Amino acid sequence: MGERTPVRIPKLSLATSEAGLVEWLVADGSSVTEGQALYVIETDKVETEVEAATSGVIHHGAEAGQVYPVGTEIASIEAT
Amino acid sequence: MNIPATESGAPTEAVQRRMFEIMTLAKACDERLRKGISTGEFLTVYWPSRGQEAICAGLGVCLGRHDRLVTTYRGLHDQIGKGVPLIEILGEMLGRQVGACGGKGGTMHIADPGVGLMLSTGIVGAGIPVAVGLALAARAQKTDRVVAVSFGDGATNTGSFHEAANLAATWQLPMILVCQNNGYAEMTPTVDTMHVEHIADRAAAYNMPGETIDGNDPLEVYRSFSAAVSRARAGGGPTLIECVTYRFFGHFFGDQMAYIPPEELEAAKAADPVPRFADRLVEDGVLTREQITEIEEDGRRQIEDALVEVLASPPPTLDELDRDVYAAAKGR
Amino acid sequence: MSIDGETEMTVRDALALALDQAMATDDRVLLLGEDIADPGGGVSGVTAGLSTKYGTDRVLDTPISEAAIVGAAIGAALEGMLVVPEIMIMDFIGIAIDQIVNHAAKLRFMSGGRTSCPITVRTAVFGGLGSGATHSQSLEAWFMHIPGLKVIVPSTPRDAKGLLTSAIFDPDPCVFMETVLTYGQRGPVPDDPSFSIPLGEADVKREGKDVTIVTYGRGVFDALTAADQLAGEGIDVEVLDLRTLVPLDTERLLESVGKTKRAVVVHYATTFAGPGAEVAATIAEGLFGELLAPVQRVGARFTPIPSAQALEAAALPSLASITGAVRRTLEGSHG
Repeated sequence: MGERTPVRIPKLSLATSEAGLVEWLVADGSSVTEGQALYVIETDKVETEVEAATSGVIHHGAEAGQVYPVGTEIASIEAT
Repeated sequence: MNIPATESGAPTEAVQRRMFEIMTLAKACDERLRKGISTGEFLTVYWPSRGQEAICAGLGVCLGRHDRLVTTYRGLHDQIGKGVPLIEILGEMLGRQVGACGGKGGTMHIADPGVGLMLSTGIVGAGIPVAVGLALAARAQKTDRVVAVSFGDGATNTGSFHEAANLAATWQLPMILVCQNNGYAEMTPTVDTMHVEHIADRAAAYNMPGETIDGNDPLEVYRSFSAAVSRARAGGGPTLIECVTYRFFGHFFGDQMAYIPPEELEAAKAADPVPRFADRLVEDGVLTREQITEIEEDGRRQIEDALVEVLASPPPTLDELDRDVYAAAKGR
Repeated sequence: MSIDGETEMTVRDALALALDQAMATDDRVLLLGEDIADPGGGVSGVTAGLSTKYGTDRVLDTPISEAAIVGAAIGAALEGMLVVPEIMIMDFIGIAIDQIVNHAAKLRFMSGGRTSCPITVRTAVFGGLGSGATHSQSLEAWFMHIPGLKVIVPSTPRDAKGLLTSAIFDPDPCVFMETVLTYGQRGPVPDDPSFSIPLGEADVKREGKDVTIVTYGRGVFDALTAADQLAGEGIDVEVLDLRTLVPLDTERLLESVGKTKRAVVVHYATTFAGPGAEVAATIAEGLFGELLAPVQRVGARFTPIPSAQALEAAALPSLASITGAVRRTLEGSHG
């Protein structure tokens, strides 16, 4: 099992303290590459795609359709 | 380093190389930060200075290590230019003990008096009066220190700026006042905030030399800054230098930039001062394309090396809450 | 004339002495302010003679630029100078408040201890002179509220000299609040040039057993006068001079009120949300159940301070309001 890098809800704006996880763009357990769009978040009615910081296998850790505080770990990417 | 200008006011090849190194490092640091913040890897607040790199390179080569710098919350590039170690800058932004301020000041308040960075302030315009005091002390302590203060176009509308510029000129203090005019004061176009066309014209109100320059041309920046620093050091008083530049990412990281015309932003990015300087250095035979690439890779490597240390450093401990409020550990 | 190692002088002279001696002993001391150099010597004359003696490089007249005056003081202090900027009249301090609150108070903390601001902002309250609302306020509460600042309010000449000396050499930023109407008060001051009083120590100006008047600055003189009057009624008043509001000498405060079990706080700031509220809460927290009466507060009325003489007097603490408050603590008490 490789090193796991946490995937956390980003703080995309000065006044943001939480964001909605709108949808996953990659399936649980699939391979992802650095820079690939992983999921969509929504803050103040603006939707943004969040990219992968590293490459590996993604393990989902949270459900779409919910609001999470900035910094919440919602997945991890396991290095292969 | 403080390298005297050649007679024509042009920087030597060594200085040009150094300027490019600073610009490259600032650009790379910005890119790494934005990547980290946008993926959720880094949790921090950030006011990007991407696009304004030529100015910090000028500060870096025209000021000596003992000269002072005051900058702002949009100070990453200035801090890199002045020589604040990357570990301290990134550590502070990410709230770690290795940060410049032990994680207690954050992005906006990075200070490193050891390299002359005396203050980064979160209050627009408030740095210029402090710079006046630093210059007053430079003279009172019988040194030849020069004080540079960096601020934006918006700051020149504050009462603080006016009071401080007046004082700087009246007392003929050894200062350079560097206005980084990036066309927007927070989220309002500069042209909507003042009736003067050139901020440098405001210097006339204080009978202080002022000039407007292309802040994205490193050679122009060097000419102007080195002349102003020399003037200040020789006792000739302060200079206001308006550096016309552009910021690529709005006011704060995450700014949707709805108020910026897309074609204006595209044009600015097409004129990106960093690759433009690289092209010029190659054309002028100062550096080869291979050397350019080496410098870029070295910059990225320095940042990743710094991040390893930063991410391994813990956040400040809870007892730090009571430390440094007053001089005595538990002063209150 | 010196008697037993002390010389009688006014509060004004004592402040001047502190500045003079600080400048004589330490080259790092620098004064900035409007009209402070000779021949002006400051609107209230406190800095008279200093620029002649030490030069205009060390006693600088400034333009009317409070934000830049204090900002410049901070900058010079960052380089290790001991700077004493003057804000002529306390009502003007609002113009400088950004520098005081956002820089001076916070730079040590925000820099993780790498930079600090040993400034002493001297300022004077002009209340009680009929000057009107923008030249009369006592604003110490604003600065008590900011972590990182020390707030000092001297009363007697001895305290003025001792506390200003400590403030100047204190590594933390100090707001040193003087009151014009007390400048003429006379008292002995030790001749020893190094005489200073540590910050954070309250002082019992008059011992008593029935009720403590907790006060500072101008209020001390009012309290002593009130105590003399009340003594004639058989009421024995203790006057506790706080001297420093931050750091507050909670120990001495609770010791005194713990003894008398009744407290009246007197100050020239408005009663509402004034320093007395903090003192009263501290007393309540520390001595609840032991008190024989609720803590009384006598401060300025919640109104802009009027100019007409009788109206102004009615807006500020008076002998009547202070003695009245003391008597209220003794009504229906079970002690």
